[in-house]
Amino acid sequence: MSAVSRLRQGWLALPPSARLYLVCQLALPIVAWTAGSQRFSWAMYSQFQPAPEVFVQRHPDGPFEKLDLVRVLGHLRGELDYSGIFVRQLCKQPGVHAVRLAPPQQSPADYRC
Amino acid sequence: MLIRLLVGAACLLAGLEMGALLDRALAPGTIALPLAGLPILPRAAVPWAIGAWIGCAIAFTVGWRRRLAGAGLLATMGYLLLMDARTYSNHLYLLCLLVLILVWADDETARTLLRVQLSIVYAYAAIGKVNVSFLSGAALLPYTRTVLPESWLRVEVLAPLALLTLLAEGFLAVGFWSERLRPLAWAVGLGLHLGAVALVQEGRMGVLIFGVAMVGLYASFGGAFGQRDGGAAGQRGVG
Repeated sequence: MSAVSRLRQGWLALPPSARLYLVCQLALPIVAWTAGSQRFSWAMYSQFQPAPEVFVQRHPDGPFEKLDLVRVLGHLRGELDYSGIFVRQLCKQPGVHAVRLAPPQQSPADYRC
Repeated sequence: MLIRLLVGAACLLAGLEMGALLDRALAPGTIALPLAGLPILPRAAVPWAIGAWIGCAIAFTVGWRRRLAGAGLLATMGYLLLMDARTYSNHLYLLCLLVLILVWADDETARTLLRVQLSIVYAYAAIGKVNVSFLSGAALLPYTRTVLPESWLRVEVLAPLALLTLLAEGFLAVGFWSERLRPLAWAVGLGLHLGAVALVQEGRMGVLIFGVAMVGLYASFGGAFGQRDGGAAGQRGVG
């Protein structure tokens, strides 16, 4: 039996809900990438290696406090690389007046919310 | 049985990781980054949430009220996965999917779904690495700089390492489906995940959890040697 026939047979043997699950699993990363590529085009992309330190200012004249991001690895590093997205997300939080990204060996950049 | 043991063990490790993470993420003064509009868990509720997670993970692993324990585990993990950008992680998302399959599907369907899931994970992981940033080795630099000697942190070393990673993942996406290549796929997969655990310092627990979960998926194809179509482990049922 050819590989295509086996694949077809295996597919038909699955219940409809399992087929739906697999279609979603195959489609979701593509949808996410498409969304990601749109982000890429309008975000200020910079290859921060490692990720920048992040500070927030809670009052116009207040100090910048360092933010504990807890998990900078993975998706948050990605968010930081697309810093525009990350700043926008932080600015949505109540009590955030400005955000400062301080990449290593570069001048920090301040973003007023 | 082996699949559930490994997935359950990965969930158990993820629960311990989440406990430590929430302790910092919900500390006073930190800023929440809501992901899906779910309310942020009060700090006082963390021991209860993690307790429920660990309890359900243990019951699920040993098979005690498996479906009920799995449903509880899925609810707890799913909530924390979507609660905050800082508690979301790709390996937790994968664990939610694996528990969902093991709770919801019958044995034969679950085995098929887990096998295809393995191919989906590795295929997309490989495709996602086809870019200059990864293939130049630059993406590996933050993870390897503390474990590799300074003289090795060069494009001549890191670029082949990156290419090897991509090729290994591409091979793993298809290798398990061939009886002839399956022993090699086991060896490559174990080597890849053990190597990643050894190399990565920041986020090592996450890499370990991902590795244990993926080996759970390998088990859906049966053993490495001479076991046909799921082998002895597969024939006993996945859950």
